[in-house]
Amino acid sequence: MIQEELPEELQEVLGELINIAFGSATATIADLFDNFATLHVPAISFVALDELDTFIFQDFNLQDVYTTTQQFKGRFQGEVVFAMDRHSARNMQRIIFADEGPGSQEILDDDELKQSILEISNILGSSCIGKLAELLGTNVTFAPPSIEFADTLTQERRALSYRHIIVISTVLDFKDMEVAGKLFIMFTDEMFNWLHTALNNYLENI
Amino acid sequence: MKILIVDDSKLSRLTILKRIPAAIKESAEIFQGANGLEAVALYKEHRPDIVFLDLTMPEMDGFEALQLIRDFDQNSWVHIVTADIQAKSQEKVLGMGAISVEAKPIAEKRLAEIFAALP
Ligand SMILES: [Mg+2]
Repeated sequence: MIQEELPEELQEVLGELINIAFGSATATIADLFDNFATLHVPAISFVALDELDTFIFQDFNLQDVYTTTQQFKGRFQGEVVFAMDRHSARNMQRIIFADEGPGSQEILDDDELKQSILEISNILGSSCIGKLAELLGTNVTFAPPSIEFADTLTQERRALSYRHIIVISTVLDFKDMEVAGKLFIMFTDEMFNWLHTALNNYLENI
Repeated sequence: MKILIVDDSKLSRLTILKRIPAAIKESAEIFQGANGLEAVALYKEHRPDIVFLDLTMPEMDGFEALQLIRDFDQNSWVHIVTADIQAKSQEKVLGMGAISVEAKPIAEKRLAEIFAALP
């Protein structure tokens, strides 16, 4: 796991690069909806695949959690998963439809809710990973995102040998409205080695 | 010249530190802080000629620190170096009197321009 295998100074580099990447992703969303989000110091942790469930469900109810997943490919590749609960999903929807006048704030049906979730997760996940890749001197392409049931997430990822998972506990803290979620970046041993080298290069060439 | 660099990330402070033009670094006194409280305290103590200030920090964020520094010294020369590149954040700090907002990581060339433009 990253915590044991990545030297502390490189964990710090990774942490700050993720901070920059997440800031850029938040700005994309906030500017898009002409809103403003207070940025917080992101909480970053590293977990193993076996601990993923615990990590997702310690803050969310199983029936309530929406997860979106998106694969990215390139020199650095893996999968990015965004999980949030229903309350946050509703808030996200309000932010998206805030401009559409009276009536738009009424609860839309579940399909529309899912569309909103997909849209935001797509922007958040791809701009965060895209920026991280850019900072590490490479670029990635993205498969379209899809919604998945959280309870099968771990199970299905096992086959893909994602041994390393970075968890960013995120809050999109909009005025009077909070979208709390967790962003998981998952990748294999091979990608871990690439990341290790890339972080080293970054630090050496500051 | 006195330079104050404030960021909760050691890496970000190091990035600025390393990229300051060599000729300036040689003769400069450089102070570092890790949050807004330290920024304000170090500013009052040393009266730096230029400040590089992060926004997202624990204890006290850069918005509040900028305000306190501006209240203390209307002539302060503060550049914001941040991952918060939202349009509304930029407007806010520029309105408060920051000289510029720089997206992290700041480039060496940009730092040279910033020092060249110092009054
Ligand atoms: Mg910071």
